[in-house]
Amino acid sequence: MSADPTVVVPALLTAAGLAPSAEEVAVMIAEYPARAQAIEALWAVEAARYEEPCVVFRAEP
Amino acid sequence: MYLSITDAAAALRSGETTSVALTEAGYAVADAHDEALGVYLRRFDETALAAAAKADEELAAGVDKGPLHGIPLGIKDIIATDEGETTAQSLVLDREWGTMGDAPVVARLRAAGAVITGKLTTMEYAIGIPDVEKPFPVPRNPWNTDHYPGGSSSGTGNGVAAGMFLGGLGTDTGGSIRYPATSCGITGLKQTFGRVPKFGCVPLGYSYDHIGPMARTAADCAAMLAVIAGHDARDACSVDRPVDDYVSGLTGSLEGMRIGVDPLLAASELTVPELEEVLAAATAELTAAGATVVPVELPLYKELTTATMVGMAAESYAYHRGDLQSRWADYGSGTRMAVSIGALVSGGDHVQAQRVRRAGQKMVAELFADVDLIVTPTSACGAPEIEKLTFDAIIGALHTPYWNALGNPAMSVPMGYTRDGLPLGLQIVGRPFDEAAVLAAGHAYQLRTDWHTHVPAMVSDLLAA
Repeated sequence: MSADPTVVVPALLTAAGLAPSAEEVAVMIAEYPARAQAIEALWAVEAARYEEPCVVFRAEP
Repeated sequence: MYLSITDAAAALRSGETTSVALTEAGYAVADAHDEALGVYLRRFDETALAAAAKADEELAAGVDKGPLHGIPLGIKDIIATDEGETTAQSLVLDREWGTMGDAPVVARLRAAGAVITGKLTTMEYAIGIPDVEKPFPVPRNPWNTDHYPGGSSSGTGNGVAAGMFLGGLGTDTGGSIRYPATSCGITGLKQTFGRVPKFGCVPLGYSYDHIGPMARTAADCAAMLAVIAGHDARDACSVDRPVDDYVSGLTGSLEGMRIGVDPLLAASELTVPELEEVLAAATAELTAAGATVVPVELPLYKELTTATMVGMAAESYAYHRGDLQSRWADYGSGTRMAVSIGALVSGGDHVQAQRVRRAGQKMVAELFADVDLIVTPTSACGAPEIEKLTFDAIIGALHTPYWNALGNPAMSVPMGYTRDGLPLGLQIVGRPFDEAAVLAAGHAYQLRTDWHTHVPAMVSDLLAA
């Protein structure tokens, strides 16, 4: 998929079945690069390389 | 009604006041100011006054259920109560939700003799910003009604600050107890994740949500936490371990305690210049109370803040996607935009956020090997103007989400004002399950300062009367 927010954001929203207004989509597109950059920084955390996630699952409900 | 819970409990037992008088006084403030402040979604006058009368009878008969007996408290309207529907301040939530009756936390307060006065405003589903086009009150700050009181536990924050009740329950997923606490000049505690059961509360971020106390003082929060803490198997995240005696630990001394301070002044573009001086004055009081204060630097500050925002978005999106698809317009604009961020986050991103949390826990535990507590500002600035409110601007100012990623107990206490007269808060953080140390530090600080006793001018006329 393209990294272009004007392509990615509408595609993900459509795939999710969401139908925001054009104005709302424009806001999400504008905010996307900073958020994507912040998320990318999570993948750069060396200390997390071999960590287990903070997700708890027990076999008994 | 401007008493602390602790003072009111003493006044009830000395015969200086009654629970009915306290409850009526709070409702009188609400009659005068709720239209301007937007605190209540629903009042329970009849049942509250009946409960207050019963508390008066019991206390007169020598039946004493503890420090909350006869104390009027409000409940954020995402927590279920016996009195009826919970709305989450939303048109979307099925009104059948919450018919299980009191959430465990409310049942515990009621069993301790507390008087439940009503359900309080929130950000819709505890996320977003107020939408004036929806049929709900817009909460405002009693220190300046052009400004936001913080959220999402807005009604608990501005209601306590205005004197409509003596304390209440809020919830905190990224700072929603501590943000209104700092914005309204009151005290609010997000205790350790799992310490208080969250069954009976509408979820936002399953692995970040906390229900916690908001009141005028740390001692009041200690009294409330002592009642609401404890295991409940209906919450999968609830932790089964003994509850400390938080109240008896409030000695007023911080002798032997080592406190790390990270001013976080450069962590936000919204930091006001006066924050440095206000924080320095606050830490000087901690030193004067006997603590050794040392500089620290919080590790992975931006990454752990992001981990909370990514996790909250993903987890709330999982809860809301179906309704977002079919009822987009019924959501407030700020809420639907904030939750939809979850559609832009991958499954891998969410899991990576959970791995960063684990790494961060270990790094911060190393920090806590050298200090007993850490303090920071709760927020970089005072509460924003409602007209200029954006969700991203709120998050950009807060120093709270970091601790939701980690789960440590964190409390905000008032520490002064901006140059514009808006309250600022000191955030006190402890090791996991060491709420006692957090509360003890907050109490010691409040014995040496009087910020927590200040009353907003708009309601001080009622105090004089």
